[in-house]
Amino acid sequence: MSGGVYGGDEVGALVFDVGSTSLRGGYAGEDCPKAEIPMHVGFKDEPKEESMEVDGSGDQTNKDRSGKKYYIDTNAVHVPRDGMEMASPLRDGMIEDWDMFQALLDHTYKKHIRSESPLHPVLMSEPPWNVRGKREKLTELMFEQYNIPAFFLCKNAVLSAFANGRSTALVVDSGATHTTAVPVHDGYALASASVKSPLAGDFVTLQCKQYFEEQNIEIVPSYIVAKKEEVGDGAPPCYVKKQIPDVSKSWHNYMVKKVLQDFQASVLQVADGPFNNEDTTNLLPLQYEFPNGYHQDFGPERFYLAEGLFDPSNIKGLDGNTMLSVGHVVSTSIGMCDIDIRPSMYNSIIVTGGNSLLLGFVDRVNRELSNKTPPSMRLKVMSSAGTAERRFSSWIGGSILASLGTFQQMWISKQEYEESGKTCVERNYPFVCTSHSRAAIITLS
Amino acid sequence: MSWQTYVDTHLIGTEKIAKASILGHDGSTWATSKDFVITPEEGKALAKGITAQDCFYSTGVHLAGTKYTYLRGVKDENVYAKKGDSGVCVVKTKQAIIVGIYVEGTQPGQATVVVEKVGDYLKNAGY
Repeated sequence: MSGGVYGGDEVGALVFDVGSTSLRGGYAGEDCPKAEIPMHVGFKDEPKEESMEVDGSGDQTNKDRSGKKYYIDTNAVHVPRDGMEMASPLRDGMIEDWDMFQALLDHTYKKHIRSESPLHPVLMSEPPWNVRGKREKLTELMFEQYNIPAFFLCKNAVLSAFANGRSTALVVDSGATHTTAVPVHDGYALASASVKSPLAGDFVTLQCKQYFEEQNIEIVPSYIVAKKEEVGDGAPPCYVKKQIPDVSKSWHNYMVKKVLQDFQASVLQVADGPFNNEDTTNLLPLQYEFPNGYHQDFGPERFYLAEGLFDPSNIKGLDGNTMLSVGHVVSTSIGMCDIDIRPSMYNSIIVTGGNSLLLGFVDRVNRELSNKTPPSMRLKVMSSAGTAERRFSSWIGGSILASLGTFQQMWISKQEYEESGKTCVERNYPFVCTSHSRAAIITLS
Repeated sequence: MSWQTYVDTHLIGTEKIAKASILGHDGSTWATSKDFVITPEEGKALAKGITAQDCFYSTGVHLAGTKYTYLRGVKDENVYAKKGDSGVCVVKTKQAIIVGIYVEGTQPGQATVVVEKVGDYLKNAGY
């Protein structure tokens, strides 16, 4: 092992958290990531001859071997460009397009980390259902292409648990593409008992989109709007269109999604109990103004658009019975655990992920679960209050873990990789929280 | 080299493994370290479970009267389980099943490497 090499706690490790919305990167030991880069990348197919561009010219692009030109990071992505398509290198939370992923990493190193990759060990997160082939390929990429001195892969649920000061917990992570429940037992993610459901942030966005289509409300992203005038409540918008290049459909949809996500974050709320139209009609409606100036009040819609997360039986356009609601995801997952660890799971349920920031989400999880918890078990639902803590929980956990003194012997060093090849990542995986490191995690977080 | 040598030198001798056993695919004990007795029933259950692994999720892995919580495993290859700060790594080779138990003070990563190495050696040697 590489104990001698990394004797101290301070190794300048980098932590990368790969999520379906964004890639979070930064130095271990800090309290929030240095960079959050959207996972969605713009690209153009360009012939190779034109690739004579001066580096550092300020425009944030990358080219790769296949002749694709990538536009990465919020600023570059949000500019309307002729024929730029949008795509994500991930599918189902796992890396699918390696070229694109590498372009993202290149960008992060160059623009945000601003340091040489061979100087920093890297801790990266992975979804609990990641497959062996991808894990090995990632190890190979990091050691061969980036020449890093040491590497470690950790399940994101484990990191989220660490960020909340626990090494045993049930982590309920509601992100963009899916809601998952993963039991973590003493620092191990029990992948066999983890459950995931597609009812998450993107699903709510889709619900909003369908609703606006039914209401004949056109979503006009701000890139189209040059000038708008004040109009009355619910009156047709009055705005001047901007001259824009011929943008691709995928990019337009991406920009529409941004507007919908903003709507989602500022207007929607999860009802306290099962949704009932009469109960909520006299609740305070909220006003929302779209980028083109159209605005109206939203009353019961605020609640029923998010209701599908907890009650999939009345989702329009799909057979709800095939989906698992958030409450079900949790109880199914606990039901698959060893009977001896079930009490400790019920006792520390950690709710995290960007979608859990919907108003009332955590309270509803609590309510749903108290109906499902056997009387002999004590239920405790935890969640951090801050937005950043909730969205970046696995990054923060990684930051804590990589700066622990006891963790330093766990790195897979370059030497080890060279001796035993990429399979070392499988061998080395088990990391246990000894009582000593457990105490350290609790004090750090 | 007898099976006992593998247990004494290559597993216990590394000081990463506290207790170890080598079993046959039928669950019978071929060699074991001092005071570590896997009963024939436990051996059979382990030998059977390692081929499917489903049964471990809810029952755990029982060895010498102690129950270990199942963590993960690869069908017909290995099983990892733990109890508190101790844990067990089981590796299946062509003819044998190697069981190595580590206790507090050893990182599981270090212990599993020891057991997997013996497993690889035996597999390459045709056992």
